[in-house]
Amino acid sequence: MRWSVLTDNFGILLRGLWITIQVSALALLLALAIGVVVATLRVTPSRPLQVLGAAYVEFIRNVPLLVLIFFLFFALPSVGIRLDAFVAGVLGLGIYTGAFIAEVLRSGIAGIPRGQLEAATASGMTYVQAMRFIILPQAIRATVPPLGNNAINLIKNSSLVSTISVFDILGTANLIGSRTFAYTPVLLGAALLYLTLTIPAALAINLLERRLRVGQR
Amino acid sequence: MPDLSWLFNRDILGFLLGGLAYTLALAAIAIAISFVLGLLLALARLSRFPLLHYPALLYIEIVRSLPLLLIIFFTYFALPSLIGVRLEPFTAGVIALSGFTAALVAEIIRAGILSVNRGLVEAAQAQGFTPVQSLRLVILPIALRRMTPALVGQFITLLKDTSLTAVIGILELLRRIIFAQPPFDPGLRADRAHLLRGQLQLSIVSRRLEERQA
Repeated sequence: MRWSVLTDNFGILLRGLWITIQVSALALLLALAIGVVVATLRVTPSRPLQVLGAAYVEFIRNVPLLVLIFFLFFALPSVGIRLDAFVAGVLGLGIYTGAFIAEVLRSGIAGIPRGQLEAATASGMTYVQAMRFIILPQAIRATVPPLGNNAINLIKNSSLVSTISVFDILGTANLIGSRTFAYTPVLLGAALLYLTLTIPAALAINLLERRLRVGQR
Repeated sequence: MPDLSWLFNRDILGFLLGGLAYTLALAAIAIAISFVLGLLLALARLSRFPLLHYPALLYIEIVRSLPLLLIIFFTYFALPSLIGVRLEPFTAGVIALSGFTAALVAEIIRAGILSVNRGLVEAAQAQGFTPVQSLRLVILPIALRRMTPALVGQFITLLKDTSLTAVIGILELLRRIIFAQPPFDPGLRADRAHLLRGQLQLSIVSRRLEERQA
């Protein structure tokens, strides 16, 4: 095996790492925004809005992410919307992960017994106070682990943007591989780069989980 | 609305149905292998023997932390030179999908086994069951029932993940739909319809299983 491929191409692999970080971070922000909006739709009293939220979640969750990304990048130009590969990748990842985050947030709020809200309002709290001091602190605690898992999945899923010619970690690795035919060392190097992102993220989430558990009886 | 008349043509629909068959075959084979492999990995991880425990732990944690697409590329491009055997794209797809899903299935099975009340295990031992008997007759029946929803969810994900094998040239549904359409014409909706139907059926099967076991 020619390990020298890794040292020779160290610079562009690091650039790939940076692209992966950018794609993941931007997509996560988008996904959180979509998740909050869609989760809110699903808990509103309005029936049409609930259906809209549920339709979004069910449709997006059941379509492969690769189909979504290909649709944004290859199909939208035929209706006159031309997206840059990077933008299409971020949008696809954000739209996809947003549906999962919406579910996490919704089940987090739904998991708090209704009696607590009633008890809080009976003690003289306003609805906003009850949400702020009673419901949300508990809901957030319950949603941290699944949100963290979704964030890690997002980092892993970001590798799909390599299929629409974004040179993230995997895209760069494939490029080097196809030029040098040294796929084994290059792909192992790419795996190491992904591990440097996903393993610390998993550890950080575990730590946060333990922090949040303090004060819970 | 884009023109979809090209899609409703016998040759093209037949071509796409062939892709659907590939997708379902890939998923079915990978589900079977990943379940068996996942069960073995879960048992190894729960084992007290370090020689079983640590390799399983390492495999599960590393594979879970990597993108599936990278594992697919690795299996197709790098693995043949490591083991000295040429792999067809379909074989490589099956190996990558099962190897990846097995790590996730192992964690689901492990959680299911750990959720079984310790007292039941002790009761089984007190009745004179060997460890293998108590696993097969007491622990697994209870654990399998509890993990059905999570397992089916994982297998639905696997069905969607088969689309990734398009990148190593397997003519599954997604790749065929891309081949079939005229340049830059969106026909991806048909592909979605097929996948949605497959998933709907899986979900229905899962609900039936849960009802029957409840």
